[in-house]
Amino acid sequence: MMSFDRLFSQHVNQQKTDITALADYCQADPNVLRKWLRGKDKPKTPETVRKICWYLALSPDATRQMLNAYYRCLWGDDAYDEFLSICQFFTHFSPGSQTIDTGRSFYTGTDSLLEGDVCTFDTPRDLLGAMATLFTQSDTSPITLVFQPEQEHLTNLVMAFKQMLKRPVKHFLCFDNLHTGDEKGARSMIACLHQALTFHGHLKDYTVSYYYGNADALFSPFSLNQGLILTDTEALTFSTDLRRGICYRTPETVALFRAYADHLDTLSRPVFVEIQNLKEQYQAFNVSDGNTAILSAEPHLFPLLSRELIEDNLPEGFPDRLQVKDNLFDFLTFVQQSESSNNITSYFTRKGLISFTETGLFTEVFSNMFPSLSPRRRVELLKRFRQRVIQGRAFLLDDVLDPLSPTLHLGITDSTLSLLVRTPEDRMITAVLDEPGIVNRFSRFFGHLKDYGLVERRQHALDAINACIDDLIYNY
Amino acid sequence: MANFAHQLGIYIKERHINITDMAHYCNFDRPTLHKIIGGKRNPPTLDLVRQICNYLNLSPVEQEEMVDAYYTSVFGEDAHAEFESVRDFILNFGISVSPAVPTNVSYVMEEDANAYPAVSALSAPDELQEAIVHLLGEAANAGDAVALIAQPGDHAFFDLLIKVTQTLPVTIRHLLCLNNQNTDTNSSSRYNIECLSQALSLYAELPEYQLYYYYDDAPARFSDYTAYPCLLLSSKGAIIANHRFTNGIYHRDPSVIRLYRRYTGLLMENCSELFHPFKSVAEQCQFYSRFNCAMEVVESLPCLMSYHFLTPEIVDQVITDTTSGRSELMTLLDSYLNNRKTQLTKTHSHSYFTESGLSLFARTGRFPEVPDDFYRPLTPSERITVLENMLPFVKNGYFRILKKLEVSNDITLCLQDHSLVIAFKCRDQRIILIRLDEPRLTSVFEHFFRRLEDYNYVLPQEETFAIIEDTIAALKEKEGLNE
Repeated sequence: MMSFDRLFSQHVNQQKTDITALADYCQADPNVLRKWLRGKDKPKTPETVRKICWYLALSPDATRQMLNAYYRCLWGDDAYDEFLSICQFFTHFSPGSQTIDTGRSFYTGTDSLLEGDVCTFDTPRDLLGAMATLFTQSDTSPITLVFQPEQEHLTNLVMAFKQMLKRPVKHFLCFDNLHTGDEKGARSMIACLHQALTFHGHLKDYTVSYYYGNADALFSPFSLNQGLILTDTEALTFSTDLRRGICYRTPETVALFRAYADHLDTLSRPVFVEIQNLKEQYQAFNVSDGNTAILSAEPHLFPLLSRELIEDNLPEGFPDRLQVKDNLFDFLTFVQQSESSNNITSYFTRKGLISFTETGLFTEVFSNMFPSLSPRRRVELLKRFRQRVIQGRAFLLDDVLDPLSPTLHLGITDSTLSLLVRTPEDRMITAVLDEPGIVNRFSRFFGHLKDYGLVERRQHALDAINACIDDLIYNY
Repeated sequence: MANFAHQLGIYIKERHINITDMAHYCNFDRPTLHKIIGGKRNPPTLDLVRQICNYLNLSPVEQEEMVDAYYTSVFGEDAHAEFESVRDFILNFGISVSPAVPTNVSYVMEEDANAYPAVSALSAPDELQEAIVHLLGEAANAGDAVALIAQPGDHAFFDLLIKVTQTLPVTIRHLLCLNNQNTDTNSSSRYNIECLSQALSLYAELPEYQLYYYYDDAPARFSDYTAYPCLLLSSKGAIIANHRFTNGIYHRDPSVIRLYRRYTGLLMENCSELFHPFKSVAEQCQFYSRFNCAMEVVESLPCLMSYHFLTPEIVDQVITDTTSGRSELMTLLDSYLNNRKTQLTKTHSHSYFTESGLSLFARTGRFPEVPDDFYRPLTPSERITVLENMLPFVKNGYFRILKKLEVSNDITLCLQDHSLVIAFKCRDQRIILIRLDEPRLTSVFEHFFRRLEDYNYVLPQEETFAIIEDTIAALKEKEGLNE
């Protein structure tokens, strides 16, 4: 990527811009501006960069490039790349986004690849075929996986056979502790998190544990027997480039690998803390002595619900309706109390706002719990939400984050990261992570949202909400 | 490792020390002492550290810790760890090349090739040991080379390997992983020096040992987090083992062996040879004469052979007549010794040796780095001549006596132009000379040589001169040569 000064001077030279006039427009000293052009100094705020872009009449894309170069120069490569990797996590996240077809083609439909006490595989195709065979066995005994998200074929394979994989799955992930401060470490950890969430969403019985290590060294193609798929009767060990695999089928050898996996289990700890009910879920999102930030596509409307609204909208035929209703009332009281005692900030996207306006559905609860709200109710909620924006407790995100998946809700406190993911099968997964590396990265991300210009001005947010309210009033 | 100022602060607080009194005792400026305690400055000299330790009434162990903390503060943690690792390598060298071999295994070879099935789980150390003996024995009988992927550690595998190959000679191709990562608990230089030490021991003990190295995060790759990172591979069998060599799997299946052969082949493509042995004295002389740059030597005995302190007449008399190619060798040695003398004065080389090494030479007239059958011991008068020839160079600071660093008579380390030459004596009195060009390891030794004086491991020139003069005087007295 081109550095800020080079990009800036390129635009200035191309357009033969008068430096003095530009400096005057930016309310900067022409000599200081020349220093920016030579890379000896940089603008103090992104606002100045935006002014420059405006004066140079740059397209939105060119403006984004200038801002990217500016932030890279301001924060340094590592911090900037870490920020980008989390941005990508949000914009690319979808629990159903895995390419599922690539895995299936390896499955031969027979057990022919697994015969004898020991079988070897020297091509990725055969090896993946053997793995597919293990995944599709009708056995319901547990299966242990030791591999990293970088082995994409294997990830795809698991996703391809998720329906047939009836076994409880225990997965070990190595969180890189060598590149903790740089982009590589961020990318590696975010990839692990993404994979864990994806599997968590799709596999019926999935537990994932992590240990720290030099993931590159441990899972290098030059490591001898690092990848492992272990069942009660087979141990399939493989190189991470999938060019070398051995499947052991004698009880004694399988027992050796079982002992290794058990030992690894003692050295690892769970990635997610499972949440049992709505209250715990909300607690995880909101309870913190410090600040809490919540990010989701749709506006964070749940605390704004009223008892009356719950009463009216919880369907008559909902299982255990009375009990659920009471629980929801309790829950609402709890939510509203914690809202008043904690500093909670929420972020939403324009797309999420429009989606709620159009459908009246909440994505953070089961779809059968609250059918579509009536337009009147939607207007009511949006008006309450507008107050939050005015109070500076809710922010509209820049369009860059519009692709944020409506299935993901994320809450960050000082020490935990809470995730609520809705799977394509309408399962809700709530998980809490307290791994400091990941929590710190997300925390930094939230801290920089405004600096990076990813938060729209308050007036823009109010305009967007007002437009939605007007739309609802006009159309319905 | 504790920071010097932090440690000092603890002692001062614990012992209710008055800083003004301490500054007075150490004859040191009080504000500067405050800065030292506050961590804003390091003590200017080791003597001051010692004085502070004395004033604090520290025990010898506590004093050593303070000195360590001082060096860490002055040179940085990594550099200090690096220095210590080379120092320990030198101090422990004799132990590493003469390993105790406690393992007692039966060498009765199974003639039956089907003693092991296609795959066998080796669940206990003795099962693993038996399988290793089987694989090595089979390879020895077939004249087969064995590829080995294993790291030094607190396991008995290398001892077993030494013992087995002494009765069943087999070529071992060892693929060693040198560490390229520093972690909190393990500095890469310490790890690599330990690898070197172990590898030298194997080189000395195994009949045919070829060592190749590659770089990676070795402690991570060979840890509890990896299932079976170690491999022993012949053409008929492959044993994989955990890093502690407590269990493993023995494969006899040709397809598995083929798979591992391909793996070792791939790894080998990314490896380089670590040791380059000198095959003859001539080759050695040629190597040293190639460079016109400074040479740093650490050994027990001053490098007397190298600098023409041996006059041509003495050389002619001491080299045995039975030495093959004697006349060519004499010509070569003559030109070599002349070259070295010029190099010494031009390039500011240094030779560090020990007082005990000097006295051994005075007593025996022997050079430990030269095989005994190559020359006869020098007579007392020849010893005197050699030492007297050396004296002017001692005055110039080229020769210095080491203190606190008792170098074994079995090892000589010589660093020249980023190459490290190690000469060492095996248990069977063979002398092995090898050259290392691997940059990471040699740079650790380079730093060590450079820091010897900073670490106060070298006697002042005058003291070195006086000790050699005393040695000469003692020799003369013994021989009745005093005027």
